[in-house]
Amino acid sequence: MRPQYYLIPPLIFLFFWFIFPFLYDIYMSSMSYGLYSSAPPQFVGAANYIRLFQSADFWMAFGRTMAYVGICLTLELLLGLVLALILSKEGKIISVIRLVIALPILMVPVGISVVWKVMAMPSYGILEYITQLMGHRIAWLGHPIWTNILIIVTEVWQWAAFVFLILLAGIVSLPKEPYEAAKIDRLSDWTVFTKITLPMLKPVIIIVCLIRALDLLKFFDPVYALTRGGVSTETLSYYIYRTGFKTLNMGWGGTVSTVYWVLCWLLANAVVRRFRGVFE
Amino acid sequence: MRKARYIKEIIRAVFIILAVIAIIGPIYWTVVTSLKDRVEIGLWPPTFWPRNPTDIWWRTVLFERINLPVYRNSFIIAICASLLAVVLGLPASYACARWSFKGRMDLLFMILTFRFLPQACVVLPIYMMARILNLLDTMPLIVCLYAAMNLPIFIWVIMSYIKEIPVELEESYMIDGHSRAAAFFRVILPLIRPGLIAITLLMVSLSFGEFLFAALLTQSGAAKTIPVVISEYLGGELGYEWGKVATLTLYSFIPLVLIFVAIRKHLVRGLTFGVVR
Amino acid sequence: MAELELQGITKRFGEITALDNLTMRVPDKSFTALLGLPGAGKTTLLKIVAGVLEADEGRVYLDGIDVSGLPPQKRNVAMVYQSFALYPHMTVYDNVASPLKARKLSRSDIDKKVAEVLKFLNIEKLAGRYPRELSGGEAQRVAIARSLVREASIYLYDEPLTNLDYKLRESARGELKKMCRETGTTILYATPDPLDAISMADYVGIMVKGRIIQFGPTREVYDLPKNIPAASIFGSPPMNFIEGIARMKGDKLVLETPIADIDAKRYGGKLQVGSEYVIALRPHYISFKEKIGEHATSFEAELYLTHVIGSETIGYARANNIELTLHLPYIYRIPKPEKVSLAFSTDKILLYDKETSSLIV
Repeated sequence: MRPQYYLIPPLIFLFFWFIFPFLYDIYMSSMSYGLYSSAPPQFVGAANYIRLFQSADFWMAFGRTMAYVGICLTLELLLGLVLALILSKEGKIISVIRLVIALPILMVPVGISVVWKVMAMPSYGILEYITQLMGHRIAWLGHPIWTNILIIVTEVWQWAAFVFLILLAGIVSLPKEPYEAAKIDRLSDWTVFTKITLPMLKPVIIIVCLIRALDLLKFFDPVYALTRGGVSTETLSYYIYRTGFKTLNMGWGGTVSTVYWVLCWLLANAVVRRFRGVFE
Repeated sequence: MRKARYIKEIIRAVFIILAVIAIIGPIYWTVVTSLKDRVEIGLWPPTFWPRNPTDIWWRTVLFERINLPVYRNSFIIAICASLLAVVLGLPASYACARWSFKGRMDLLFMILTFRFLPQACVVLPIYMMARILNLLDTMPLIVCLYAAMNLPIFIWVIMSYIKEIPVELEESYMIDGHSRAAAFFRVILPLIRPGLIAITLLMVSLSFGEFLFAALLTQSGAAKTIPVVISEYLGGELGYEWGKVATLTLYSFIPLVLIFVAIRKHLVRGLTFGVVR
Repeated sequence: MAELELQGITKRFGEITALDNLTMRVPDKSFTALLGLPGAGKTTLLKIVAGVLEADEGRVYLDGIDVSGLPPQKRNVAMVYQSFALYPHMTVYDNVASPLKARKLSRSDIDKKVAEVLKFLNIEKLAGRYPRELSGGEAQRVAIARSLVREASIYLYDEPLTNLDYKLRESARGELKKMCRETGTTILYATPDPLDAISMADYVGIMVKGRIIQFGPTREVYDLPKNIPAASIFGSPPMNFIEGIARMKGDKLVLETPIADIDAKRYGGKLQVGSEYVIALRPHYISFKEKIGEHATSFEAELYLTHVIGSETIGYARANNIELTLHLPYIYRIPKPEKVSLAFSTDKILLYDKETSSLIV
């Protein structure tokens, strides 16, 4: 019996800061209540949920979040994989380059978002300048499509390096023998990649994809820093911020939070189930 | 055959160069901007190298009265949160590493899922709770939140480090006559020290960069952290101060680089809970 | 120094029963070997004696006292692990001093005792080194030093020689034996190697699948293993087994085997004609026909491989499709397989009932 007791402090701590608020979210989602309003909380049942699922803004935010997850994940995975493969050979210069490539993860996410924003500002930014040189005039922060692209660039810039690091570790720890055999058999690089490297890397790729996907669902920092959520770049997190937090509308915030949380929990559980197979 | 190999190498080199430029680019811009004076920053077309490098931003940002307490806050919060996570997490990690009890894996995986839950979901209730407890805009609040956020990673990674140490060492120590607690402090702890330090530093970095909780749950300067200040420099309260923005970002970057260099061997394990080495 | 008694010890790990109602008594001040193949449960048993593992059923008595519920700290046993379990972050001195520090002895007392035991094992110069800097043999001595530095009721050794290379093992055996005689302690020594038991132990317990199938003075157990498993484990090189049927040939009682008919007169009425038996024959006892004298059973065989070890030879022969191993006390090489006449003295065999596996005396 004794060992379980050691888990109690962290569990209580986590419960208090995560589960308990979530329970409160659920509770509030059935109410209509604004923290600064003088009216007391009023039970409205599922009305909040109905309104939520009918809200175009919500679905926009939802869809956008999914799109961000999909696009960023794909780009991060591709870039990270390519970089990891290219830099998998050892060498002094390679080691230095690896360190350099890994730098982006060290930046405070808000910090780098701000940097990108400034670089993209009209009449100030370097991005503006470069694209002008190339003959176009891109209103990075004006046009919704370009703004979205900018956000994606910011995110991928920072986290492709993360994927890179993890995949690199995986590649480096792969056994050498299959490659030697492939060399003797004179297999082409592409065959080696698809038939040897990829299958062996599958568990690592899965894990890193899952970790990134779930982190991407929380997407907030670049949105806030770059556009304050305006101009069609709103994600679910920002949606909660705008409609729930800014107005301190507990009922509404609770509703969105609950739905959002359930979504993430379901995905996280699916992940963990898969993770478990790899882990055990 | 040789030609094909040659071409491949060239493509590879090109790719690497492009990647390095892409990575270094924004960082370079940040450094360069922090060294330009105000006039030059506003120049169009922008210059790639400061004509009159100046340290004015470096000095102002460092010593501006608004900012000093913010650095202090960020550091204190990061360190305290990490220590709190260590204190709460070490016994749990040890218990999970050495004993197999019913439901252990289930509990561990539930703890793991906490890492993936969005801060935005709990920010409202926590705001309310904090208001009631009078903790709003205080450092202890943020410290607790960051500790809670980092606990899952800590427990999992330290558990994997502890599992690497053969049980025989502790058993032998207890057969020698020492208590189990002594075995933990004198045998396990010294042997996991490098990993422990690495993970603590990782937690410090993660605490440093967290934005949502810090921005939404702190108003005045009492508990403001660096990321919040950075975000304020944009068309917000403090106007368009590119020099300051660049410098501030740089200041938050440098400690993290130092930490990274110190823990790079342990980094991968820390970020993937020890599954990938 | 104390007597160890185990009563009905059972230990399960999930579905697997590691120890099955095990009972054994280790005499005071004896060197007792626990002989068994890997997986027999030796380490589990030692850990239960040490207190590191708790038995599901059964009791452990040290010197008459029931220690079954006590944690290792309170039991005063010493254990040397197969992997030596030296603390990597401490010097040899600190490793050896560990049990004394646990007993809160004074610094000078600790110094004295540690110096004493290091000297006894000839490793004084290693005192400041770290385990990673030690060779296999040195590490083993440090582990033993750590166990000897205090006076324990019983000393438990878990295959301490397994991690040493062959040459080292030989000399280590000699030293261990000497050391044990000098310290006069109760020792329980787990090993898969019968040579360890033969050369060092006063008593031996043969352990198979979590049970002790035979226990007694080493010579006795070696000469008269009670059943077939005991016979097959305790022998190096391993015992030859030949199956035979008891028959009457004329008025003589013989054991009819594929290689020869063995005169079974001395077993008299203990054999049942028509029943199956297993004859166990030690490799030592097979030799060339010329060398064996009276009561010899001889047979033709093909000697197809010889293997010289030191000044002795292991020979592999085949007679009528039965594989036999010989152990010759001299060097004998064959350039190619040759037909030979082999023989063994009939009164050197051990006979077992095939069904019950018990020894027929």
